[in-house]
Amino acid sequence: MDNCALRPQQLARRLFFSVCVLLVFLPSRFVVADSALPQTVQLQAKPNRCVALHQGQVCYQDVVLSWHVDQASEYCLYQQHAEEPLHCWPAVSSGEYRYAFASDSSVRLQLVNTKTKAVVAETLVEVAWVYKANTRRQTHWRLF
Amino acid sequence: MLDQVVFIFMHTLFRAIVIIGLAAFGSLPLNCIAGDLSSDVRKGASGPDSGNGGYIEVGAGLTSYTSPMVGIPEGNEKSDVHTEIFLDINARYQYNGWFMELFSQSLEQFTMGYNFFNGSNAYHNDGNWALDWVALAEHDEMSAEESNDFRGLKKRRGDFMSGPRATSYLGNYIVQLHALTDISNTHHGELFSLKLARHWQYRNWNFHGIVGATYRSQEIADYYYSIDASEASEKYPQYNAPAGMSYVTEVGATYPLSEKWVFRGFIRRIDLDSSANDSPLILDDRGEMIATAISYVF
Repeated sequence: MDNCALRPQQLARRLFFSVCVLLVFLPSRFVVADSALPQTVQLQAKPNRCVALHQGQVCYQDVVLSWHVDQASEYCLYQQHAEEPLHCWPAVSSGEYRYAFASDSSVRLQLVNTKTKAVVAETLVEVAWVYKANTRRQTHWRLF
Repeated sequence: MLDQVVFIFMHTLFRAIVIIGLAAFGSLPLNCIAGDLSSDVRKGASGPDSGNGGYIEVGAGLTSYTSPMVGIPEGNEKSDVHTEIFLDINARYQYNGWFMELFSQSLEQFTMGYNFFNGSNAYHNDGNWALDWVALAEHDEMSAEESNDFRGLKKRRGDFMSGPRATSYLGNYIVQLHALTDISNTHHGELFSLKLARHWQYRNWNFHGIVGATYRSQEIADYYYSIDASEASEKYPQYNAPAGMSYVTEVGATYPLSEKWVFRGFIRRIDLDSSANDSPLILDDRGEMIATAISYVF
């Protein structure tokens, strides 16, 4: 019975040991939790806005697209709904691409992991204009 | 105090508009470009502005010009180059077909009108037509109150003309025809003008070119450019002005600095009939103008 009983010193040592074990393992458990969180990915377009004079005109802008992900892999940059990529990178975690933007409407750009086919980041290059089109195309006469 | 500020502002505004109009076209017979043609070609428009609504732009510009007209500006001599800062005002508003427009870089001044017809061009996929009835001041007052150079001459009133304006948009081309008659009981003359404009886009720059010809009837030329016996002097001998033509050529560029700021520049040349030089009130058979402006679009 005495063998089973813990003396105060033993109790204190075990408690200290347990706390130490917790302190050692807790951070490692937090690290595991961190790796389970979504990756920090960034896809930036600079500038992200193109201004044409008149609505309907094609807007031209040299856009620098830069991206960064946590895990290196094969990535491709796509215009949304486009079949062909603008550019692809092999086994890297960041990249930069000079994009000769030319469109009469806003374009969404997507960074795709080619192994998983997942869209890991996206950004929008907006088209704006000074004068909106105010034209009605139908033929009509009017009298007051 | 407020009244004075408003008066000074309005006076400056009016003077700037008149200077641009007069400088570019040498007052009367040199005006040949419709406001909306000048504006539309600068915007790269492919059709008439047929919906309700409008816009206003205010800016500042710098211009250098030669004027072929006596008294415009005051003290003008042949080949004198005048440089001025001007207030750049561009505005248009339309409601249910009624419209008013003012473009200080245009050859026209304030124009009011009614849009009767908009239609597609059967011969061109990209074509649109517009038929308007317009009313506008084509010729400004020439009097001693306006310029000391006119001292001793009878007053020539500014006019107000009205008539149909047909505009065709054919891809990158715009063609416009004016047929105007005097409705202000000033000279009872007629004016016909035909202009062709084209725009090109290079990246976000919009370049344009305009050529045009304007015919002014003998009544207009006589009212503004003849010197009758009662006002003839050594400086202004008697002269009877015939009907005549004037021609305009213009190239320019427009660039959107942002959604709200626009840069414009143009070079314009006006040519008159060689016989126009015979009038004591006309110094040369041509005038040139170069101008740049930056405007804020509200």
